[in-house]
Amino acid sequence: MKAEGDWWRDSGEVDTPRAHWFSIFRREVRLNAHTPSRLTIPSIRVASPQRLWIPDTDSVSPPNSITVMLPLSLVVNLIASAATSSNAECGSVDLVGILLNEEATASFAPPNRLGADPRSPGKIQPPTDVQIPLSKRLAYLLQPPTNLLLSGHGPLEWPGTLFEYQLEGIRALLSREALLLGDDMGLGKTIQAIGALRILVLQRRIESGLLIVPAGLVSQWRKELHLWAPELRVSTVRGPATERAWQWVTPAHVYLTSYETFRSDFTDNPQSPPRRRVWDVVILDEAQKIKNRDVEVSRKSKQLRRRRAWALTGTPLENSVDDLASILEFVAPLKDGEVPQRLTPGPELHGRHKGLQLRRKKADVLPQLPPKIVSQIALLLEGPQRESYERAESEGIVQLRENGEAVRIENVLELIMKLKQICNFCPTTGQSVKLEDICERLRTLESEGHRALIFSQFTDQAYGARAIASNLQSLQPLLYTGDLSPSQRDATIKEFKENTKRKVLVLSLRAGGQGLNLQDASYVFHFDRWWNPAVERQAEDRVHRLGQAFPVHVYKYILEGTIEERIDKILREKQLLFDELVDDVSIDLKSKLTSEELFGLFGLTPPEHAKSSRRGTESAANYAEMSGVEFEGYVKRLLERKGWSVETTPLTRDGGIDLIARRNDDIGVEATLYIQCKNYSSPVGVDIARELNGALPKHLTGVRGVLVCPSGFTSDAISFAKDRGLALWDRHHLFELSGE
Amino acid sequence: MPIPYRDADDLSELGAAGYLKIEPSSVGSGYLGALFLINARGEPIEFTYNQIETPHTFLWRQADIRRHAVRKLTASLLSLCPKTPRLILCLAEEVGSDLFCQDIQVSIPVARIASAIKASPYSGSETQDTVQASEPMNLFWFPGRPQDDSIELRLLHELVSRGLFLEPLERAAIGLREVYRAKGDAAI
Repeated sequence: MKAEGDWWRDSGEVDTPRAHWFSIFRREVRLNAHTPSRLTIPSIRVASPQRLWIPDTDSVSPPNSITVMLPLSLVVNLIASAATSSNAECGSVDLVGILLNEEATASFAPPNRLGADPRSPGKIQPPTDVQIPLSKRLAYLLQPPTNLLLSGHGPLEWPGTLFEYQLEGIRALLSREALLLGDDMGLGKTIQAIGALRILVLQRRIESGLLIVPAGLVSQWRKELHLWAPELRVSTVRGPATERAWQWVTPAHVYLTSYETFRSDFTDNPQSPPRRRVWDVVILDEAQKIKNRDVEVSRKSKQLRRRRAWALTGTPLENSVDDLASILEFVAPLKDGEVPQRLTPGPELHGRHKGLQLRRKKADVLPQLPPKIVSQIALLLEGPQRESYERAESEGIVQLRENGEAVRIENVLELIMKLKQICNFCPTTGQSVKLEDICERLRTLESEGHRALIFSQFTDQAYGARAIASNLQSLQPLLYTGDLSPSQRDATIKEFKENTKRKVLVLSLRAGGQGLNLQDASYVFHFDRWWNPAVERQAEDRVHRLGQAFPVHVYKYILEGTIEERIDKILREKQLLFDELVDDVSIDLKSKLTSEELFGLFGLTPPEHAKSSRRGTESAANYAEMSGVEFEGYVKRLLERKGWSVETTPLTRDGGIDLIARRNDDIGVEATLYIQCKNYSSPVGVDIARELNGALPKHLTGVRGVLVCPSGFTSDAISFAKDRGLALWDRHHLFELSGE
Repeated sequence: MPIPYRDADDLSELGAAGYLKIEPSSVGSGYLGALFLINARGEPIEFTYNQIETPHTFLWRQADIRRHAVRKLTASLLSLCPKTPRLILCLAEEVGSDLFCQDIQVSIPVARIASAIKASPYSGSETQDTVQASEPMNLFWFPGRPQDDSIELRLLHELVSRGLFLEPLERAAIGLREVYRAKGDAAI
């Protein structure tokens, strides 16, 4: 740059205009010249461009031949006042919610409106609130308009072409302070969120945001952020507490962390990093993580003070309408001093859902995406596996009958689980008709250059993912399960993506069913079936998503005449329900299986105490109708009746522990139970068991962790609890505790 | 002493384009002016603005007053702009050829922009050029069209390819309206 003033000069060749008044006198024109002002808009790439400039009065040209009515005064230097602060402690430009008129044309258009012209000019509406300093208003108004920024030929470089529906999604995110982006899996919710974040930061409408994602997806989000928003500075908050402490205060546009880390770092202390500031935007990826409002992370995420709240999930409804209500409780700004709202199923929730959800289905917006062909492979059990199955089923039914009126839903569920495992592998010989079929298919696929994912709900060596992987050694399969560390998970995915010789990836449904982008494969096998069709579909969509070049083939194994076939019928019904509720938002949810349905799987009728009721009403307590707090109170009363002294931990300080029960045993030694109560409608997973284990005080004798959930526990959770001495209390145990 | 460095980003090397916006004041008589500097990506760098009031009188010819006011306004904007843009772009309908051909001399190329389908007067000392933006546009260069491989022309082409040929003038107008919308309140 040249020094000031050396690149231009007033020629002075032209005289000041003079009026000729009857040739008597000549009068100079008098202009009222004002003081010029300058606004320097700092580059987004520079964290804190501030410089001190001493105004030099000599640099101002003295008045020349014209008569200046107002003398030129000192220039106003706006550099410092306009600088974007990078200090994490600083407040942000409170433009959110005030300067949003720009996108007034953005709407939640149904798919048939997606053809609307995206370049319809969204004219900037200058803010009317003069409380915002002019420098900041200008810093925003002078940014390139959104339509230009989103344009493929505009000032921003996008690494790929954004589809029309994605542009629509970005505009919706930009225009709304609360949005549930519920697009089908694979439609690029991540890209839309990053695109909107990028534009908001570039337009100075926000300064920083918090992005909470599942632990296994942190690395993937980081990569996507780097790719789609290279200007944004990202602070990934993870690792030991000492590292996290500075990661939270590192100047950044985006703070990226996992649900688990967020839960740990959001404490009762108002100065805890995620808590002490008002976030310009908080984004929850895979927001179904907060579907249970009583889970700690769900409570905490709703307590975040935020100007914008975006929830991303392809499955806003997994089990009940309460899932949706819990997620929508987050999807709202929360100002200082406000209390998170609580929503209950009903017309209000229905209306809110309608207003907040933007959901597009693949079939509507991506006709060019290769088709997903779902096939059911029906096989017949043979040989020892068949004998094992028939023996287990007949013995199980006899057992259920023998129990008479004392039989419980859990007995049925246990039998179902056992039979499902035998459908995978014979417990005595290890034979598996599914594996035999899959081997044959994989050989063909391998020769054709295709790659495949195999999902199983079990992870163990006897019936699950490990058993599958070890039986497919000739294909060098990779294994992805929940017990891998985040770095091991990353390495596994990287190896599968980069090493094309790896033809097969075996995943546990829970660990690998969410968030991963695995378009490198085009075949998906469901080795066994999950209870929830939304979960299955989510797993399939790891493959059937943007970037997939081949038709996706999904194979679901069903063993004829077994429990799998009977469960499949129920799964189909739930699928219908999911579509109706989430896509049309039109009906109420009554999706839970009745005890009649469950007992009916084995040709039995439920006992009197369980008839015409949901699973939760097997005992005197109707868990389904209890809130989380009520359930805690119920467990507390049960324990107190048994002579325990029970203390309820404060809601915001429980660290995962809900109750602490103490009792002296016969020899005077105090036993202490640290109890976590989960009134879930589905079995508790290993992550909750881990959470409890991590919250237990160390080096204390007589201490035991107890996890309570009426719906039972996943096999992973049971295995984990067994190894660590945690007690698991399900509905059956509670029933016994109640003495009924 | 500044630390010498070089940004590896090619676009940064292209420097800034200055958009000169002159428009009549909506309040009273006079003119509003802005010099809006953006980089090749369209990101705003500097926004310098001012207004000048002109008398309501028949004593002077309006054309004379306008020329004199625009000259003074532009001079005040240039005097406060600490950075030298690679080139200055303005609308021919807002800025006459006399401003840069006679009244104010600049050492950087100036291009006045006009629609190619409309007749626009230009000085004999200006060089006419055509650019294909959203529609064909005439450019009247002074002192002359930059060389084909010059940074100035590369910057111009970058702006055109990114849809930033005329758009920054709209932003400058929005900025001016924001500054002066309330009773000439330029206090910050």
